[in-house]
This record gives sequence, C-alpha cells and structure tokens, in this order.
Amino acid sequence: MLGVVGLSMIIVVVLKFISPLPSLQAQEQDLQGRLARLDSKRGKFLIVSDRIKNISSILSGRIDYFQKIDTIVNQLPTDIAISSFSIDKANLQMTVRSSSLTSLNTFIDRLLELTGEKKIFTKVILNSLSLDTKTNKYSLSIEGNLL
Amino acid sequence: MNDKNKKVNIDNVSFKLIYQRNKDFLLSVVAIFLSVFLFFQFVLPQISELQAMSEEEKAVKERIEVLNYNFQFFNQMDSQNLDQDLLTASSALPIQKDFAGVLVAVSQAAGAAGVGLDDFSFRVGDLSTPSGTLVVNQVPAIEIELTIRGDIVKAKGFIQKLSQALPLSDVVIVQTSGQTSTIATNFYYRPFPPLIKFDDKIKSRDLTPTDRDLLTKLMQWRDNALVVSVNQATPSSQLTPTPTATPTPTTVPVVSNTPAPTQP
Repeated sequence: MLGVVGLSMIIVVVLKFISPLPSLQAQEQDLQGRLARLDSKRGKFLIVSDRIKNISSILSGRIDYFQKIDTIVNQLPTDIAISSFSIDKANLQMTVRSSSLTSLNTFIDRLLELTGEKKIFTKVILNSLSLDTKTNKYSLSIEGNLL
Repeated sequence: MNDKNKKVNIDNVSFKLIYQRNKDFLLSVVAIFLSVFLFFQFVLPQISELQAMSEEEKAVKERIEVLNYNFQFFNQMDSQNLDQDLLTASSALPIQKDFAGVLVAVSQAAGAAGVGLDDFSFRVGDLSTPSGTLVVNQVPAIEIELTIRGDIVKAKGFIQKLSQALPLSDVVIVQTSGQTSTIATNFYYRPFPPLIKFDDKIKSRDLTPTDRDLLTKLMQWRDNALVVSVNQATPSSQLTPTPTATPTPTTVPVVSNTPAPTQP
C-alpha cells in the first residue's frame, strides 16, 4: 500500500512536470502582446460597431414624415389649399380651405379611407367647418391621431 | 465504579511480550497509517492541483483560441477601409456637437429641395446639468428649429433631403402656416467613450451585411452631400457650406487589458 502511495506521488509529480500549462501561458502572453499592437485597429472597430448600432437605432426610430405628409397631401383635391399644417410624432392638425364643399367632402372621405386602412391615422376628428363670407371659402379644420 | 478507577501496570517484560506477539501486525498497522497519512497529506492535494492545472490548461487553450482568432481578424482587417468606415460613421454620428456640420447639412438640404432658409435657432440642452446635453433615445442631440420659406410641399421635400444628410437628424415637429414652415429637428452626436476596454474572452465579430449596407448608404449620402456642396458653392449660398465640416476622428482612446507589446 505504501508502494502504491509512493508510486502515485511519483506519477503526480511527473504529470505536473510534463504539463503543457507553462508553455500555453507563454503562448497566451505572446498572443496578447501581438494583439496589443493592433489596439488602434480594435479601438476603431469597436467605435464603428458602436456607432453603427446607434445609427441603426436612430434610423429605425425615425418617423418618415415625408411619406406621411406626402400621403396626406396626395389626398387633397386640386381646388383645396392648405392654410395651416402641423404634424408631430402622434398628432396631425390641419386646416384647409376651398370654395367647394364637394371637394372638402371628397377630402374627408379619403382621410376616412386612410383611417379605415390603418395606414396613417388611427382616428380623425373634424374640428370645425366654417365659411368665410368675404372670400366665400369654406374652412375645414381636422385633427388626427397618427399611427 | 471500582473498575473504572483501577490502574493497570504493565511492566517492561509484559510490554516486550505483547510486542513480540503482535510485531508483524503492528508493522502493517504503522504502514497503513503512514500510507493514509501520505495519501491525504501529499497525494490528494497534488491530485487536486493537477485537476486545477488541467482546468486552467483548458481555459488557457480556449483563451488562446479566442486571442488567435482576434489576432487574425484584426491583422487581416484593412486599415484604410476601417478608417473610411470610421469617418463615415463619425460623419453620421459626430463625436461632438457639430454645429458647422449641422448648418452645412441644413443648407445643403435646403439647396437640394429648392427652399430658402430663414431663421434658425439651436437648443443645446440644459447647461446647468453636468452633461449639458439634450438626450433623445439615449443618444445626445442638438435640437434646431428651422424656418423655411415654403409651403408644406416644399417642407416635405426639405425633410426628405434632410433625412439623407449627415450628421443624422430626426424631425420632431413640422408646422406650416401659409408660405412659412417651421421644422424642429434633432441632430445627433455621440462622444468617444473615455476609455475603451477590450474583452479578450470574446471573439470579435465582423459587421453584419445589414451593417455594411447601412455604411454604404451613409457613404452615398455623404458623397451626395459633397456633390451638392460643390454644386452649391456659389456666392448666393446662404450658409456657405464647406465640403467637409465633420470632425475627423484621429486618435482613439484605447486602454488594453493586454500587456504592452514586446519589441521584436
């Protein structure tokens, strides 16, 4: 039994002696040193990656006002003019003027269609419809909740 | 009671007798005790140490694999392309409040959309705070309120051009009244981190195809802006844009957790 224990001790010592760990650690240090020479590149790459991530986030969160305004403006019959227009992330307020009630009605119908299709609006509210007797033009004020 | 207090006297003769009778047996017992002692005192700790060495060896091998991969990855990376990518990304998201770049972008967008610029005012943020910055979606931004001469259709064109201008912007509000439109826009920037630390335990991943596409798109926007800038370089230009106003990143603050390079 004593012999077995002695033999075990010798085997363990030999195994420790022939372990590749020291050479692996030296190799690791050497690689770290070589990689440290590329720190400038690594730093630049990290910054590019970080910036790309932020840019993607900004672009994905950006509201396409061009498309929204374009869609709304394209619904306007030719004889309707925009008096005022205000759009932000969630709301749209606009006042249009026209001498034709039929055209205004067409415009409202088109907006309602857009609301039904859930393309731009979730809700459209007709705030007021008035007539300016001096110019003989109707003024339509609407408000919409944007998607 | 008396049995417990009874003393036993063994004289030398008796002791020798007992020893002679159990001599072989005693030697074995001593050998067993010695073996057990040696096993627990020396062999077992050595085996534990060997196991720890084996685990460390495995960990070092994994780290070497990652280091090797990272070394190959960065060694093969083209420096010029990387500088170009950094320049493009920093044009889109400057490292500081790039007022000149913002004015150039606004001016170019106005020129491209064919609208005239009136007033503009910057809102930099609360200067009483340590950062003194307006932060939108966790990215610092400068808010600028622009007034352009044009109806909603012109404003729409301006917004489209501005969305493709660098530095990156994000329109917040558009208000039009008659022939005047006011557009509030956030222009983003992102300072370099004070220190960059590398994690040598993670393999570096190249940019994804989506990231590459995005960089290409940004590069196109930047190039388009330069073309517009050259075409606009006339005495009538309102803000006299310059071809490049973006601060160029020259040095990157790097702190490595790796040892300093050894001289060959």
